[in-house]
This record gives sequence, C-alpha cells and structure tokens, in this order.
Amino acid sequence: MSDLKSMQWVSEDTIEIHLGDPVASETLEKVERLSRWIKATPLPWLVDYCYGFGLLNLVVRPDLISVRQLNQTLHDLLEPASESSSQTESDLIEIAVCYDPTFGIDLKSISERTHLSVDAVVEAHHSRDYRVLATGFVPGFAYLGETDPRLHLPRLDVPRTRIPAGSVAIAENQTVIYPKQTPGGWHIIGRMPGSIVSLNDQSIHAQLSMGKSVRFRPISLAEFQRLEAAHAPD
Amino acid sequence: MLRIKQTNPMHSVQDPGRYGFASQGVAKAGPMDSVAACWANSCLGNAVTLPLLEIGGGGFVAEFTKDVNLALTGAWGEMTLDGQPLPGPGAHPVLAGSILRLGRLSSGMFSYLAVQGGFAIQPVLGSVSTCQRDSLGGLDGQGEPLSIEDVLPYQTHERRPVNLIPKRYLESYHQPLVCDVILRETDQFASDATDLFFNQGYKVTREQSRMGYRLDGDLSIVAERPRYSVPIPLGGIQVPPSGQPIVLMRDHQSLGGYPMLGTLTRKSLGQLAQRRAGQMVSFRAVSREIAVQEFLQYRQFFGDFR
Repeated sequence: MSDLKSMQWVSEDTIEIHLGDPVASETLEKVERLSRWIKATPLPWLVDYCYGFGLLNLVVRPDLISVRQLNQTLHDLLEPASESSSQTESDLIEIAVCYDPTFGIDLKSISERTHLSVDAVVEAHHSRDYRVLATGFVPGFAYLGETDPRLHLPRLDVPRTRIPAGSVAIAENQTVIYPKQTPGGWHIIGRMPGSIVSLNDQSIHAQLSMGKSVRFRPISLAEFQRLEAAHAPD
Repeated sequence: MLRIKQTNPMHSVQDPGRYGFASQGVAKAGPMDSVAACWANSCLGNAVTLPLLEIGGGGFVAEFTKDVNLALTGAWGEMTLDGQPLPGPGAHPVLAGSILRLGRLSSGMFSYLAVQGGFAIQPVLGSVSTCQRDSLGGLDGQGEPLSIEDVLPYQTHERRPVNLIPKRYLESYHQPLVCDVILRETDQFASDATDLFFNQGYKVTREQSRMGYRLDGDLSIVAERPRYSVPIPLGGIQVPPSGQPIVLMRDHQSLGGYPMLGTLTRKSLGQLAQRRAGQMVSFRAVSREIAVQEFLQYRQFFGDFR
C-alpha cells in the first residue's frame, strides 16, 4: 500500500481506499481484516464508512487525525497479516430460500435464456458460497458474488416498480436479497422467510455486512410458510 | 409547542444527520444547507446539533403556544411574525399565540427555523433527520415530512432582543455561483472532461431533490460507465451517460453506478442547494488542503459542522 494512488481524498473528510479487484480473494481478505478492525476498535476519528466493490470510503474527523497518521494506520493494517486470517464461524451466514415458482417468478425466463433447466438454475444458485461485494442502495441491501458464470444475465431493460421484501434475485455476476419492497431490475428466483434486516430506534442489524459470507439453503414452500409464521410479529 | 398550520412535503425535521450507518445503506440526511442550519441554532446560543426545521420553498404557517426565541435563516422572502415583516435572518422573540408565516421566497430554496433549546423529538439511529427514502426520522420516526396540525414540543424561554446575523456572514443566493471542487483521479473520463466541466456554465434543472441536483450544460462530458458501482461521498459529482452532471445531496445513495468526477466542498454544496431551477453555476478546482482548512474553520466557529 505504499502506492499513493491506492488512496485518495475525495472530499474534505472522506478518503477512498482501493483494495483491489472486487471479486479477488486477496481483496476480500483485506476487506474482512479491515471490517474486523473497524468493528473491534474504538476509533474516535472515524465518523462513518462505506464499502463497495473493492473501494472503501472512510469518513473521518480531520481535526482528530492527520493525513500522515491515517496513512500510517492504513499502511500497517493493509500489510499482509502474519497470522492466518481464516474465516470465523460468525462470518458465514446461512439463509433459507424457497425457490418455488410462486416466488421465483423469473426462473422460467432465466431457464430459457441460459438453456439450463429450472432445477439446474436453482442448483447453480445455492451450490456455492458468496461474499459480500458491497452494501448500500437501501438499508440492509448487499451485493453478493460471484454467481455461477452460466447464470450471468444483464439486468431487466425496464425495472419492476415493486419487488416484494425478501425476494432473492440475480443479475450480472451477482445475487441480492431485497430487504424491503422497492423497485428493482434484477431477475427474481426465490424468497427468504423472515427479514434480512431488523431496525429499532437505537440500532439497525443488517445480517449481510462488509466482510461476511453467505450460504443459501433451499427450502420447500411448506417450510417457508412455517418459518415465515415463526418470524411474524406477535 | 409549535403547531403547524400550513406546510408542504419539502418541510421536515433535521439535525446534522445520521452517521455511522452508511455501511448498512442508511443515508446521512441532514440539512441541505448546513451553514444556514448551523447559523439558526448558533444565533440562539444553541448547540448546532439540536433539532430544527428545514422549510423548502416557503409556504409555511405555524403557531407558537409558549413564549420563546426563534431563529430563521437561509432562503428569505415574505417572512412575518403576527403580520409584521421580520427584519432579517437571525433570532427574534416570540409571544405565546404568535403566528409565523413564510410566504413567497425571493432568494434561495431552504429556510431554517430553530427555537431556543431546540425542538424535543425522539431520534432514530442517533438522529432526528427526516429521510423519506429510508423511512427514518422526523416526528413519527418513519421519515414523514411535516403535516398540518403536527405539534413540535419545545421549552419556554424568556424573550430576548432581536439578534440579527451580521450582514458579512449572509449569503446572497441570487448571484451566479462558482463551486469549489476536489477532483477525483479516475481513468473513466475522456481526457478533455475536466476542461469541459470547468470551462462552461451549468444551469440548475428542475430535477432537484434532497437526493441530488441535475445540471445542464451545452457540451456533454464523455465518460465510461464503470463495471461496478462506487461508494460516493456527500457532494459527489456523477456523470451519467447523458454527459450532464448530477451533484449528490444529503439523501444520496451510498453507492453510485456512474463515474464520479469529483466532490463539492461542504460550503459549495450548501450554496448549490439554495439555487433554483434556471440559475447558473460553474466550477473550479480546489486542493483538498485548502478545502479542509475552510471545513475546519466552520467546525471551530460553530462547534460542529458536517
């Protein structure tokens, strides 16, 4: 990280750090390391941060940290760690998905466009683990990748105005879960029971955050209904 | 308390904004013109972090039920208290039963109304700032703007003499604006992009919201769409395929799919926010070192500044 182009100030208080190719495992290891450090360390000078596709923006208090101190801190952090930075249990999240056509309204068209059977599309989606490549768009929204190359499709030409909350969808080399009902241009393949994000007045808990990995577990419509009922508020 | 008698969807509760949640996709929100908002609290002796009202486009009437001192700053026009014109931006004493009226604006877009001691509103994720896009903040916590018959509680205070903000600190929102830009190094633009951007005037278009302002210039900037979205800072300047820039405002999304040319300084961002459709703006480059000095001066002057 001695290469200066790997970091640049993009505003008075925001530094943009280039961590590398968004889907390379080397980059994702750096992301995990930085994420653990940010969550575990009290950093009075850190106001906010946002990660997306190989770029990390840190919003800082310029009166509390000098450019030189910040450069040194980041330099130390991004040096390859001496100890192994293998994934911990809590970094891998399992999410149940019902791929029933009731929810997976685009499975048929995906099957036609990819020349795979619907079962093969579903199988290709849940048979690998994904990493969080970026977060944003709306609270709790995360971009996961990479999907099986056979599933890569461009987004819809005309986005749908309403995608139900919990919808699991694919586009390009990524897959996402819609945290709430929003417009969207992704191909919908299923739905998760319950909610991917919980919010109260004091805190927001998004299951998918920077540094996490995801495994999808296929479930039947009956199990979806059972789990959905268990999640319903009293 | 303050009882709302006339309002529109551009009237909302704000404070400096919601910080620490960008990584989870939560927008900052906060006042469109943070300098004018800081002045409203600061001329009352309040901490600049206290809840106040952002009143976009005038058309606001409210009744004060208790004696207090109010401050009104930012966009200006037909501002009356019990029918008497207010002499200018600053702090003004109010009697119980008084009616404040913001009629037609003659300059600017956003006025700020604060009361001594601030409005008592429950924060959500550390802030009262209203963000409709995220359904967070405001009176009900659900991101709704003000509506008629809403009541905003405040503590009564002894009335004090009028305290106008010194003229030298007041912004004129009529003049053509020159915005300071911190450039971002990227290979996504054609080599003449920055020259084009700095050497022509832009018109503010009608497509202006708390998320962003679209600008319109004679010559389009050619840019390559990045494969992946990038995290965007407050004030970021994005160039969509049309070649006409968008400046990202307080409710902007945390990631953007268009190439980003640079970022407005926080001061310039507030000044741009006050411009209406049809007004002209241009841009010039500023070093981050100079920009951060200005930013820290505001921070020191107001006690906080974001």
